[in-house]
Amino acid sequence: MRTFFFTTILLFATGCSSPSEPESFTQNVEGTDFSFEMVPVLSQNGNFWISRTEVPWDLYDIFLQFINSPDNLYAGVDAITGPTPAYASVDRGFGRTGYPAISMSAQAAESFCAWLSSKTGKTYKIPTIQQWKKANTLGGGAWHKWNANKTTHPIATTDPNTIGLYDMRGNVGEWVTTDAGPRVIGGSFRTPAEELGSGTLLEATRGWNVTDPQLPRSPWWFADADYVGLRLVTMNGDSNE
Amino acid sequence: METPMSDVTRREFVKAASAVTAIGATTLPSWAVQEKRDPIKVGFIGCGGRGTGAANQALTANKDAVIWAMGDAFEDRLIGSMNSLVGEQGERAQVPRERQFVGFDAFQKVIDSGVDMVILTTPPHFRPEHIAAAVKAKKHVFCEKPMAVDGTGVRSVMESTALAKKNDTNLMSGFCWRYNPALRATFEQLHNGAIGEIESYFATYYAAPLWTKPRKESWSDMEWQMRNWVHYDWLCGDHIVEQACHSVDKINWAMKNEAPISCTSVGGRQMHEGIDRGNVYDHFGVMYEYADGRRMQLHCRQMPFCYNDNNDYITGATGTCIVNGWTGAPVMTGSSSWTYTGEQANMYQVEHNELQAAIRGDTPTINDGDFMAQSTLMAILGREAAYTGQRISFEEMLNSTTRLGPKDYAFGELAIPPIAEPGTTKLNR
Repeated sequence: MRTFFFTTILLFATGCSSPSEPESFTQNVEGTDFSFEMVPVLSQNGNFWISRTEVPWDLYDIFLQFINSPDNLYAGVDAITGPTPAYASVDRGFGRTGYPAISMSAQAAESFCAWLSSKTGKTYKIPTIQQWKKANTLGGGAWHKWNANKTTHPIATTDPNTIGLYDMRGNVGEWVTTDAGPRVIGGSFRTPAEELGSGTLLEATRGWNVTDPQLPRSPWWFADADYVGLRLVTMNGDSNE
Repeated sequence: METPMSDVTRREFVKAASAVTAIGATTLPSWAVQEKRDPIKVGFIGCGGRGTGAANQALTANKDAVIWAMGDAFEDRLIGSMNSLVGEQGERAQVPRERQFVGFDAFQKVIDSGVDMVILTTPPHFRPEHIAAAVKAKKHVFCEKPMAVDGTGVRSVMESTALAKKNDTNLMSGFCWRYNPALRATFEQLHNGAIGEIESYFATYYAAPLWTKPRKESWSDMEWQMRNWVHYDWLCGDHIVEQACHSVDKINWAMKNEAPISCTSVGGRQMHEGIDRGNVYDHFGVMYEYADGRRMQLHCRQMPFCYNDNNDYITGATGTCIVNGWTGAPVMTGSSSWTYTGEQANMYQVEHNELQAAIRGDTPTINDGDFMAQSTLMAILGREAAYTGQRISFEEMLNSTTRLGPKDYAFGELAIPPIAEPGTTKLNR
C-alpha cells in the first residue's frame, strides 16, 4: 500500500527523462518498506531534487517511532533529539496512511531531515524559498478552502504540475527556509483558491500553539496549525544509479 | 480515603448531583461583598506540563493573582515549571525558596502556606487526598481530570464535594469541554431535543501513546514510576481514566449526569513494548447500560501510527449529531441543522477566567464535584469491567474496596503491578 503510487509515478518519470539530463530517483528508507521519489529541478544555482509529494505520515511516523524508541531514548549523547509524542492528536483525525504529515514545527522538520539524512546517506533539507519557487511550475490541481471540505487529502490525489510535482499549492502549506527564518509557503486546504502559491508565506505565531494545554508549549508540535506540512530537497541526486 | 461508604447507592449519587445546581445557582460567597481585592494567592501542586499550563492560565485570568507557593515530588520539576511561568508572567510567578515545597507531603505545606486557591495537577493517584486536604482547609480548588483512579478515591472526592458545597468554596474540574463555548451550546441543543431523545452515544478516543520517560540509574523504582506515571494503573488509572475520561464525561453530560446501571468492556495490551510501558492496557471498548435499556459506548486506544479519531457520534430519535473532538463544532442532521456560529475560545483559559470570577464573587460559586466524581467513576468502571472481564454494576464499582498503589509513599523498591487478566483479576483486590 505504501508504495503503490510511487511505483506508478516512477514508470511515468523514467519514460520522460533523457540520458543526458538529471534523472528522478527513488529513495528507499533502510529497514522499512517505504520509499519516495525525488524529481530533478534544473537550476543555474545548482540542480536539486525535490520530493514529488508532500511528506506523508507514513514516513514521518517512521521518524517518530525511531525518536521515541528505547534504542534512541537510552542512547545518551548519541540520541537524536526530536518530537516527543504530542499532547493531542495532531493529525486531527484527517487520516494517517497516505495523508500528509501536519502540525510539525520548523524545529521538528529540521530534526526529521537530520534523521532522514543519517538514515539515507544523502543530505535532505526543507527547500529554500528560491528552490520552492523554482519547483512551483505551472499546472497542477490543488486542495483548497473551496474544495477540500475542511480536511487534508491523501497526497498526490490531484494533477501534478508540469514537472510532475503534486500538491505544490494547497493541501498543506510547506516549510521553506528564508533569510528571515523558516516560513510556510504555498497555501493549504484552508486557503482560498485565489490565494494559493508563493504569495502565501506564513510565519509561525503564538496563535499556532495557543491551545496547547501544557507549558512549556511543545517545541515540536502546533496545537492550532493543522495546515503546516513539509516537502524535501536534496542536492545529492547524481550519486544515484 | 480508606473508609468504605458501603451504603452509597446510585440513587443517592444522582440525587446529590441534582442538588448541586440549586446550591450553585442561589448562593453567593460570603466575601462577595468585599470591596478591597487583595491579590489572589495561588498554590500550585504538581508542576508538570499541564499544571504549569493551568497555573499560567490562572495568572492570565487575573492580573491580581500570584503564584504564592509550589509543591512537587521533584525539585527539578518544580524549578523548571517556575522558570517557564516566570518567562510567561514575570515576577508574579517567582516563588521564594521558603515556599517551594518538595516531597510527598509538599501538598499540605502548600495548602498551609496562606494560599487562597490551589491548582491540583499531580498524577491522578494523589488527587483525592489533595482535594480533601484543600477543601478541608477551605481553599478554592482547580483539580485536573481524572479525580481518582479507584472507587475508594472517588468516594473521598464525593465527601470533599459535599464539604465544598457546605463551605461554599469553589471546586472546579479539569473536564475542560464543559467550559468550551461550542460544546456548551451543542449540549444545550441536545438537552433541548434538537435530535430527539438520545438513543445512542458512540464516543471515540483513538490516539497515539503518550510519552515515555527512560529510567535513569540513580532513580529508585518509585521515582521512575512517578516520573513515568502515565504507564502505571495505580498512578494514572490507565488511559481510559487518564485521557479518555474526557469522552466518558461527554457521555455523562449528554445523559444529564444519570448514572449507568452497569458496564461491560473489552480491553487489552496488544502492543508489547516492554517495561517502559508499565502495566496499562492500550485499548478499551466500553458499553454502559442505562436503566431504560439504552447503551452508550466508548472506544479508546493508544497505539502509534494508526487512524486517529476523537469525535463523538450521537444518534437521537429524530436526528444525528457529530461532535468534533478538536474544535467542538457539531454537525447535525435530521430534525436539526443547527450549527455553532459563536465565538471559539480556548477552553483551558475559559475555565480559569470563570474560576477567578467566581472566587472574586462576580459569579456564583462553582462546584463541579458531582459530575466530575461520576464521570471519573464511570471511566474507572469501564476499566474495571475490562480488567476483570465481568459485567460490573455502578454500585459495585462505587463501593469497591480496591485502593490501587502502595500504602506508604517512599522512594525505594516498588514492583510494577501485574497486568490485569480478564477472568482472573478481581474487582476488589
